[in-house]
Amino acid sequence: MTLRNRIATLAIALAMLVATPRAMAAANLYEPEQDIVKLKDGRELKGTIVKEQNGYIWLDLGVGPEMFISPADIQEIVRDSDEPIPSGDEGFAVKTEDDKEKSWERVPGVTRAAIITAEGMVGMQFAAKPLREAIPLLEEEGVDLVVFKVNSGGGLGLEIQRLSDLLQNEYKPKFQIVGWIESAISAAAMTAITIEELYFMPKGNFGACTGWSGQLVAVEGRGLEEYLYKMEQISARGNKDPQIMKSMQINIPLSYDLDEATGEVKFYQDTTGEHILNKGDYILTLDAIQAEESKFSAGTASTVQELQALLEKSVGEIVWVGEEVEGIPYPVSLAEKHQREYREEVDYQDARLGEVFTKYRMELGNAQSVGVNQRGGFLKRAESYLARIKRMVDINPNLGLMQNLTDDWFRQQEEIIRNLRRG
Amino acid sequence: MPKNRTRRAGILGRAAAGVVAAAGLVLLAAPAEPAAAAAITFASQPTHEILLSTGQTVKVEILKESDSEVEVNLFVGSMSAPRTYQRSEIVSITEIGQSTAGAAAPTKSTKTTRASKSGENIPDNALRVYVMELGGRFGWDVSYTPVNDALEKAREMNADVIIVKCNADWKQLEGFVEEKADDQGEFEEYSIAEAIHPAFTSEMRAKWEKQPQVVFWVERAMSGMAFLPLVKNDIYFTSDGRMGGVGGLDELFGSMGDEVVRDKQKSLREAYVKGMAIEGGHDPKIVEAMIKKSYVLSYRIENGKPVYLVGEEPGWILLTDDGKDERADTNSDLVRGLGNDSLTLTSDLAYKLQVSKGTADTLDDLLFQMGIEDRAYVLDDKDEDGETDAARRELDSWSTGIERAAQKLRRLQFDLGNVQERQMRNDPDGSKARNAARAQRTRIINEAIALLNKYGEVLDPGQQFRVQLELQRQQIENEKRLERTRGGGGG
Repeated sequence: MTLRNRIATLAIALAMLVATPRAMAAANLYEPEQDIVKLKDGRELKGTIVKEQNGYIWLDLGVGPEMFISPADIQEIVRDSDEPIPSGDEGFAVKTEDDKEKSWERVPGVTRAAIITAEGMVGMQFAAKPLREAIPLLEEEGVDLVVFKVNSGGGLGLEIQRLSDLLQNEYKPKFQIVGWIESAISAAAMTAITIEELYFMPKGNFGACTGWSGQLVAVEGRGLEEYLYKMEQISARGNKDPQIMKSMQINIPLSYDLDEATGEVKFYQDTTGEHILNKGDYILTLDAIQAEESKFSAGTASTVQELQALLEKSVGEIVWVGEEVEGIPYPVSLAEKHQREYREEVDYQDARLGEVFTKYRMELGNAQSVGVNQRGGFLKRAESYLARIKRMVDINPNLGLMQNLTDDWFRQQEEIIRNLRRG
Repeated sequence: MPKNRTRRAGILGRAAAGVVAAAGLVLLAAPAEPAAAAAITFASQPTHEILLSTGQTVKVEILKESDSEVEVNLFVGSMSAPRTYQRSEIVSITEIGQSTAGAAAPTKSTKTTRASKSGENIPDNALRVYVMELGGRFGWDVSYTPVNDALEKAREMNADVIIVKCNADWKQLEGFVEEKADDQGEFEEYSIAEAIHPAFTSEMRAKWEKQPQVVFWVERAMSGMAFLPLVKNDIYFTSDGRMGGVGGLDELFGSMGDEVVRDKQKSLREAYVKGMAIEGGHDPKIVEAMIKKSYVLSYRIENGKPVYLVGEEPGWILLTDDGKDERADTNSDLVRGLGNDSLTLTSDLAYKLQVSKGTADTLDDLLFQMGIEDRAYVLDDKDEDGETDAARRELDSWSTGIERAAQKLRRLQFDLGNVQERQMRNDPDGSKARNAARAQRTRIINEAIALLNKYGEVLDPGQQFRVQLELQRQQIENEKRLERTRGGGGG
């Protein structure tokens, strides 16, 4: 096979990786300044630091909104310039210790609570990364109790453990956490079951956790057993009977007895219990009534006011942290604002990735179709698009995973470009 | 384009409408009570208001009371008919006036007033009623945007009550009267109801300062539209109303893939639609009977309330059987609307199961059933057809717009594929002609994308068409750049 044919074959193979592009206007090329932020997880982010305050930085990556990075995540910063970075007063400012004391007061006996929405696809919009970044913001605002409002149809199985570990090892030591379920399907349910105290919205649903891919092909064999075992462990974190989650994953019965006197519930992996949730010929998804009657949930609340009434029975008086925002029926805390911004960013990246990828392929194709002496401009643009793809994947590594954009793949592309440049 | 509205008969005068409503009182007796002939008289005035356990408030003159029941004259406008209520049906009795002995001449019956303009001459204690009719094709004429736009108008008008009449097109063919059978609905249309319902629930809670009462009035809520009324507790039916035709969950996905994954997909969908019913305060077993042919459900009335049994036993009334073998609905059953493999609610059955709070064929009847006929002002109803004009405009505007957009898109697709390069002066290499053709193609693509921006939720829900257009636009840009490079130097 000649080099030209090899390149053509690779180009065709690249075509199979193109995500479906979505509607976004074409943007001009952007060549970022070379501030380099090295993170503790090993990633290196290149961009321009546009704002800095108390160790927090806002990094312009040249795509999408600025990326907010906590000092807890930063290993090292290599600056392109020694020019001072504006701290800025606009947008949300991270308070100094003095400022913290001025912006809110600790009132004895009052629990400060915040709602964080966990929405979108698990591993994309609903991911460990932004929730970890939210922790210092919650601490800034003196939050004691975090309500995770879950509305997700599931997503990547590989994110379940990361999310569960985050909730178990980083959130629970610092905050009381409860879940408020609007919809928790598949990976979202497998994550949310880490939370011991769950409330449902009346339309809430929780379950349907069968792993699958492609044309409704089930995960089976070793892979299935791994997930069943993982969910036994995660169920234990949430103090939930593991038989419940099992009945949400495979066709296995589930029933329970309720001791009216003590309120205790005993589950069975068969149909001998008085109340049958799954006869064994179905996959369990709990609705709000089933969840409450079986004590899977601690109650049902359609509004934040109703939720507050339920929570105050155990924690006492609650004050909700955050600002009133039109169209949002609960106060928006800094942490929640961060989740919303992250989701917007991921949506933007997800929509742009296909477009940028297509442009990258086109430029490679253009370079291939002209003589070596005419390839310079095309290859320069191809490099720029490749760099942009790299930045998108750096922002959300799962994006790269879904599109099979590994480090090896990036190295291959760089080699292709070098080879085209040489002729 | 055919207007998607049902013109209500305005034939009966006020008195005649009262007679119809009074006769309806007999038909609305609780299931255990035998129908009784109504002796309709012109009485003086009601003396008490009774709040019933169904939420309805009625005006009565109390004739006789005992520990178990209350005999009354029930008032409809200026007319009354005898009626007996069981104590178990009554929440409260409130005195509103003195006895009718020696009373004055009959007062003019209360008329539901149409406000021709929002806020114009509306008494302070009036209830501002906004009426919208969801007609046409569900998922085409009725989708999130027009419904949301109509509700925004209601919010601008400070509506206290929003009446949503569900009257989706259920005809076999446009222009024909024959209706589809119950097994011709599509369960997967639940996703349309799922997309629309937040406009009535979570979004309404977030946007409205004072929450309106939302009342669904069912004439034809078949296929996916059957799920929409369930998100609210206040449901009324027309006398020929039907709600159902969504019994296809068991057959969803056929034999694709592995059974356990099909079970998962069915389970989550079932949970979504049951959740909508729970949100509206309805028993999810009703939804399960509507969506699954295999689900056996029976009921009986205990203490005035329906109680359900999953299965069948003597002493219980069978709602749905398992649809297997000899129990499968026959064509004869289906064409007559008598099938029981999956549940379709009629006005009578819906009332018995307390899904419906009452039956009304006209707006005035409905307002009477709701107990607000003397305080109701129908907003912006200049043509007095019983529907708020602003709502009609929003819904019709969408219907018209989407038909035009669909036609336009077909035309644009054709044009895009037939753009030709025309010879131009001073164009030796043909580059001007090629660029002119590219510019034309780009304009067509931009026009198509603009239409999809507005109507994409219906015309291109998966965004596949949009994706193709954007890819074509990028390719055109790329062609131009490549030609420039080949013609004059480096890329």
